[in-house]
Amino acid sequence: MRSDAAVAFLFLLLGAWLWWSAGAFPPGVGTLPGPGLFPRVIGALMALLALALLAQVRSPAEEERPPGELRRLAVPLTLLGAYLALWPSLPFLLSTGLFLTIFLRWLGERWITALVVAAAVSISAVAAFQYGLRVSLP
Amino acid sequence: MMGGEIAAGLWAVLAWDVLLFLVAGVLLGAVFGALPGLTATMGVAVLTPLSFWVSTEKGLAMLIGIYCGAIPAGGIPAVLLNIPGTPASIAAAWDGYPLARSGRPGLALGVNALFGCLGQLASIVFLALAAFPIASFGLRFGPPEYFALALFGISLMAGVSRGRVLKGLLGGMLGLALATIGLDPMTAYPRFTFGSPELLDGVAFVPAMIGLFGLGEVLSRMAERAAASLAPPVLRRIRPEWSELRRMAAPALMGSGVGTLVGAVPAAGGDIAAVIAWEQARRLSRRPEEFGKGSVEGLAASAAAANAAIGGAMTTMLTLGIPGDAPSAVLIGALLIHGVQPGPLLFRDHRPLVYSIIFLMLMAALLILVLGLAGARPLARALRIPEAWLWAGVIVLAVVGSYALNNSVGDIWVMFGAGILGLLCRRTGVPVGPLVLGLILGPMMEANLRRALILSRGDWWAILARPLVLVLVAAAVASLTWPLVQALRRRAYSVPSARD
Repeated sequence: MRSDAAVAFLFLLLGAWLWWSAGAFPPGVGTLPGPGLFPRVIGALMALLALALLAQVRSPAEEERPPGELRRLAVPLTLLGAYLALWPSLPFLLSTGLFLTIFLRWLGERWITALVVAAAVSISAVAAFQYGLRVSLP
Repeated sequence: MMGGEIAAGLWAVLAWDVLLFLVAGVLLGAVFGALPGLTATMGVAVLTPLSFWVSTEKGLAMLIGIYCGAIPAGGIPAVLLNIPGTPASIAAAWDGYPLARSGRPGLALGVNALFGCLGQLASIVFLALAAFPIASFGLRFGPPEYFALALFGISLMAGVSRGRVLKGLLGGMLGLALATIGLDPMTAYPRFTFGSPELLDGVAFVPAMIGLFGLGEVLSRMAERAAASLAPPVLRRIRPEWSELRRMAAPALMGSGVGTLVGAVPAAGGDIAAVIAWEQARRLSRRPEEFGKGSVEGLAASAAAANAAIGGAMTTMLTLGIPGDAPSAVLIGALLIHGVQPGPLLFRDHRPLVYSIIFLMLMAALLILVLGLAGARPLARALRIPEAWLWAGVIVLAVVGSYALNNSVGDIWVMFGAGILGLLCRRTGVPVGPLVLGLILGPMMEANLRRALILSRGDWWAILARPLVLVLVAAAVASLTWPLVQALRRRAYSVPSARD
């Protein structure tokens, strides 16, 4: 399957990179193994397993999932990324309320429902964490 | 001495505020279990930060309550909507849903609650009786044995990844690789930190768990565009009659035994236990033709097994430090936050705490019976909450929970990255379980391998020459090759499985 081949290829690259990067770590002293031993073993095993997975891939034309599934997540992931980037600079209630309203609207909720749910979730979070647990939120 | 420790353990959890946290945990767990899209593991993961600000007993009460409350509640949507609330309730849907469709949804919920409680109680008895001997055996382990035990744990997790052994192993390797990030514990050399001081301490475990199981699950559900509106039926009689109870007693007891033992096997959780118990109950039943069509025996066996796996998993987790299933893997992180290191030393140095955990589990099991019988109707109504609202709540809880642990924005990004990793794993069929196990067992595996190599003066064969190491390594090889043998046998004889 195409996705299996992609997974195998990614793990092969990661395994090779682990092996190569850990080789640059200082060697062990005496019988004490160095910090690179374990990551190198993991990297080698990962690459071998990835090759085995690659060998199992039989039908390259077959597709496991309908196309566009992950593309659907572009909007919520961008929204979430922007929300997290703004986290330290905007007040919590404002950033969370704004994020949730747009997020819920994108999920198909009506404006009024999105606003009410966003307000309820944001205020509950402030009540639980800021006032209940004394966490200092932005 | 022992009586005093038991009394101290009981006394610590009998305080009203600890009980309050337990009740809150069971209720929260029930909500997480009952709502499709939220799971027991996600509940324990996203609510772990809340336990950080309270005493160990209160924190454990809440988290154990969530774990014990979520598993039986997972049977509610399985029975009413044919959608398992947690993976452990997959088999509950096979007979629970047909039973509900035949006009007895209340009875199906009652059986699920009653035998879920029985399963938990049976497994807690096992925990109380077996944990101390296992832990004292574990005290004899040296570094080579601990290394082999971690290897065995990972092999089992990959072996039960149902036809995805290679991907399971790759997931485990990824977890082990992630566990090497940060300062090397022996030489303090920074590894894979890319110059970031925040990565010197390694990948923050709890935010990573919240991301993998909370955000990752929500993103994956969003990619699937799962059903958003659910309409559960009206419930009538919930409590089973005596004649029904008599029919269900034997399969439920068998399910409790199977569930406890399967749960105790590292990585084999309630889902596998329930499927095995259902199949065994069908074979032993006088009415096997009813199974899959609304059999109360099938539902009792699967509910008891799914819940009994909790005590089994907790036994392995507490005694050896190896998680029995995904929620207990997250519980390890929560215990570490409270300065409690699961493993044989816990049973030597903190015996009253072990008894406290056992008493908390006992009380949680009794609470779920009350909640299951009295709270079935409100929980069934809660299924109508739109999924979009739940996703909004889980995302905010994941973000704030990750931040709240250390007031660190870096932890939020760890959670976000782990969430995307969790999503990618789910969409590409790489099981998340072995990844988490690798993350947990990585430091133990590496430290003990290196200590063993020091003791053996760099001789790898000397490590393998120890009898227990040989047994564990052989068991690891067997667990990895077993799915292959099964697949070859199936191909050779074309044996159909009971319920694939």
